[in-house]
Amino acid sequence: MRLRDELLLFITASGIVLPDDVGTDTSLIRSGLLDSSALFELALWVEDRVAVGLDLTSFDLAEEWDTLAKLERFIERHRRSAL
Amino acid sequence: MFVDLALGPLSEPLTGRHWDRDAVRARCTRRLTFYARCGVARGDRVFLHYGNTPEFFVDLIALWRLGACAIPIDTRLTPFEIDTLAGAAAPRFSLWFGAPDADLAQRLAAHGAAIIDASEADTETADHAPVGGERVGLDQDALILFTSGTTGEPKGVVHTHRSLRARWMALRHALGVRAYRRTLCLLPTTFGHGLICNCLFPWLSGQHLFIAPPFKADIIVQLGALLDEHQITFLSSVPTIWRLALKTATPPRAPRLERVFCGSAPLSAHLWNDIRKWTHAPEVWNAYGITETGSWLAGTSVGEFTPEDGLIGEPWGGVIKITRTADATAHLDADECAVGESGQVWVNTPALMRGYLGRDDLTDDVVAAGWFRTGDIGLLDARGWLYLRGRERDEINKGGMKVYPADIDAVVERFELTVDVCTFAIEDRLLGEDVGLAVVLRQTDPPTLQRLQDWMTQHLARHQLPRRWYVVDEIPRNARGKVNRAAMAARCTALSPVQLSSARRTV
Repeated sequence: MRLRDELLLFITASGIVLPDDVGTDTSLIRSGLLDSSALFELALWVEDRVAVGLDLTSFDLAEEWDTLAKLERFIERHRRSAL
Repeated sequence: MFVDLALGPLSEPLTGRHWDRDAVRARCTRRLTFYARCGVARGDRVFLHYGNTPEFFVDLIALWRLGACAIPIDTRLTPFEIDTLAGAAAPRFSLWFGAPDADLAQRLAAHGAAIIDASEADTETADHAPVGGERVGLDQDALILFTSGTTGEPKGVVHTHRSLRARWMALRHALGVRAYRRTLCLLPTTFGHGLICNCLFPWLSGQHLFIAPPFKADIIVQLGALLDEHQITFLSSVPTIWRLALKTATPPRAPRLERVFCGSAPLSAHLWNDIRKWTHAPEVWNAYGITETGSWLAGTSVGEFTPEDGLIGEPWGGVIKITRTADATAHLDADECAVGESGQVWVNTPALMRGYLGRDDLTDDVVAAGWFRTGDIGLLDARGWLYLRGRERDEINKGGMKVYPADIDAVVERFELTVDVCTFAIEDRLLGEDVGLAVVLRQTDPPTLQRLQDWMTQHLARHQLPRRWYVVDEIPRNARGKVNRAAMAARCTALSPVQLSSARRTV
């Protein structure tokens, strides 16, 4: 399964109702689609995928995780750096 | 009407809007004049379909000065739920920014509610002589907050000006107002905790109120910067907000927080200590409140103390009793628990609600001779400090937002292929609890499951939607035929939940 499909699956399983026209560049955080509890779950999920001691306060999370495309890039980048 | 007969300034950090005291007063007069011209008058019930904005607070004052009773409506509710509430409250007016969709407008009109576009109030000109409002009686209804029943039999907590004022005066006496001079609200203004205490107590005491949209994730991840930029001295919150902030937000660089409250959900000693470290606030208190008592009722304003699981502290403007009986008709004194013994928590306070709207039966079930049965289980220690040990109320505490199983049952029961249903609490890492649901269906093919998912999405607000739901063969009931929610929850832990919406979506 592609990472972005895994992400989608995780987000919808968190009880978030995404719009039918959701795309890779749809704003998830700044738009309010992800509420505080969904974002917390997402943070734990990303930590699991990246498997490094991420300091989530060291970057602008609302910006760097705002879309599926950005999230995908973030995870791939940190996975590579962990190798 | 106000604690200090003074309205404080209002600011909206996200937009940069700021109204000083003069601007607040001027807007109150302008909007009051507009609503008077619209026909709002003494005794009218008025729905407000917006919150967490400066206009909401000014409108609240304008409506009160006209003698009306304000009913804030959660913007997340579905048209079906708003229709249900309108049926129970019979509002004479329904205030929106813009207009509701045509179908909902029609439903509201059928209940006798006239729609007002509140954005037009700002266009009120000097052509119309300002209206001064009228003398408001303390025993007039001021505020109705719906706590449950949005899908069936609504339970609206009615507060009078007297009960609200009693709450604010009690808080002022117990807590003072100095720490609240720059107060931030991150909580919804449709709930007692956010509205009556986090916002109105400081603001009506002349303090500066900063208003943000509730539970917005991008604000919480920037919380430290927000506190710094606006030199916030106080905020109230729920554990959910802190769990996300502690994980993702940089602490304030120049801590100015003097007092922090956490309430609406159990606060563990561990989280309590982490909040202390992150905020550097000298006072981090666990606040206990219930909408029926005007929210904040007790807390740890007790000098030096060590955070403990379940510790609340001393009452603010009321008396607390612990009894062995939950029967409101029994004589309370005869059955009082000993020091350290757990029992039913009862409260006597002048801030108690007038009752539940149109539901004397429900009111009589929880109020006896001025004492209110909270539905919580707790104890008093030798110092008179309250500790909570559990609850009897049938509710799911989703990070401070209360979700009532019966509301969800009522919607799923109406689905044409439902045989039986049971909503229950499931454990959640962040929220403490979330919504689980088990349903017995006449058909269980994928299209039927998808139709049920769509039915729930259409009729339930987002926060009420089950996080996980299960198809089962039967719902366990006790000898009296009552659904056994705990047994159902335990049984479902061994089952796989239905997952539909995720399975059909790709981008």
